[in-house]
Amino acid sequence: MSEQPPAGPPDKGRRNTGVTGLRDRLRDAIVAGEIPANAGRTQAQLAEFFDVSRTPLREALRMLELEHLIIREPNGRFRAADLSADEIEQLAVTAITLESAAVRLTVPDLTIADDARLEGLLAESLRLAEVGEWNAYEVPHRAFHMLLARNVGTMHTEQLNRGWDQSIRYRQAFGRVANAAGRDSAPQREHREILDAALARDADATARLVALHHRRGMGEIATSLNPDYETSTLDKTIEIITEDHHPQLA
Amino acid sequence: MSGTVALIRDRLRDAILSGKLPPGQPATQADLAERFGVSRTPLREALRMLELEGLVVRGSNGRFRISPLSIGQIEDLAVMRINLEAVAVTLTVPQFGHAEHAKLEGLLAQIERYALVEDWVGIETPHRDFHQMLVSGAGDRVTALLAQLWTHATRYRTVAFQQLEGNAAGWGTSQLEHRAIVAAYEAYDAEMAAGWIAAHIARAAILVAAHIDPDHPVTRVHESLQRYTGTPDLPEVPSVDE
Repeated sequence: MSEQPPAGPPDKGRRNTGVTGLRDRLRDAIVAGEIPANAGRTQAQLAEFFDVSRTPLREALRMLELEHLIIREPNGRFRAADLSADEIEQLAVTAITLESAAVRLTVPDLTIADDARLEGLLAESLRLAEVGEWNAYEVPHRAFHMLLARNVGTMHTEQLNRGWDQSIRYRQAFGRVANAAGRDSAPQREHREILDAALARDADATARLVALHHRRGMGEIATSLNPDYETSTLDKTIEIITEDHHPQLA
Repeated sequence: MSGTVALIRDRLRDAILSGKLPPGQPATQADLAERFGVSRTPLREALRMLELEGLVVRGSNGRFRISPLSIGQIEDLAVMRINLEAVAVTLTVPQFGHAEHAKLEGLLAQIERYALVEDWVGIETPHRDFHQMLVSGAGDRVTALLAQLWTHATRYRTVAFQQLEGNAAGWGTSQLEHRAIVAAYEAYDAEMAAGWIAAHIARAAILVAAHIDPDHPVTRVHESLQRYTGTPDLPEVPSVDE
């Protein structure tokens, strides 16, 4: 890794100069691994890299600090937060819980047009997976998951999106490793099973398959970060989310 | 130094949650800019962030207003909280020992004391600490998310306790449920604890929803409740000797 900042902003074409726009560009750069975790950047370097002035930059950095994506080092430099098995586990607990709850509410409400769109998104993501376009793949992949969870309110949707934003860099970092080793087709197979359950309008089965899909994917990432990782928390989460409970409340 | 947009967003959020900017009130940018002594550009951005959080809404004319208290939002919050807290509680129960149980008892005693002297502002601190402690074993990220949902629920909780059945009666029911939750923690019965936390959240949501619109049943809250208690109906309030 070079100590010099890479040349040029990642997407000079986009002209959203607002703080939130800048925050999103910074987040994209972290996800893409362009701001490394092992080498801090000064504000001046980042301002030059993104071609922005210091005031909005400072604010965008502060927002990403609150999202736990960026760490301010004691010397005032910024680096990407480390990936940790503990963090991805917590993101998995949240995603499994909130997404399967949303899916359960959405499936009975799906329309024929939704079914067609879901088939379209699946075909699109399959094609991109075949050619290994993993950045482009994330677009239909995310749209597939969000469409299956669409029938909830603004706040719930916002949490799903935020969780997705935070876990995406784990998937990308893990993907860079997995690509080298040749990716397996488990996710694609699971997406097909999820969609089949949704087409059958089986809300419980769809919610369960989505939960297991996240459990496998995020569990693999946690294990790749820490070979001694224990899956008991994720197993417990799956158990409580997918099984019926009948405690005898007094 | 903290950012301008984030700062404005936080101040606006506080004003909305505390009711200083009442539900349904138009939030014109000129008024808010003057009231908070800020310029329009960061204000607009802060409003957009709060829109994503569900605290302001934008009408078809593009104008912002403070989100009205809505059945939809009550359901949204309750569904998220019931499911997440049931999981978090299940993960936390086996991690607690005597020290944590004693701390929970201590917080309950504090709540009781505030209720006795009818200090409905002071009571919020031990009440929040109690609920945060119940989920503390799920990790700091999950806890932070639940704390955020708690803050949003404050708008509704205020209605539940201060405008409805009277503070004392409301807190009485609540406190009996708190006791049932602690009893389940002490018995290491995670399923029972999750059931009571689900019932506790559902009861408040159902109460407030009925106040806002008695003709609109909150089916989703009942469905979520059923997953953790086996029945869509609220359980009887636990008896005092428990």
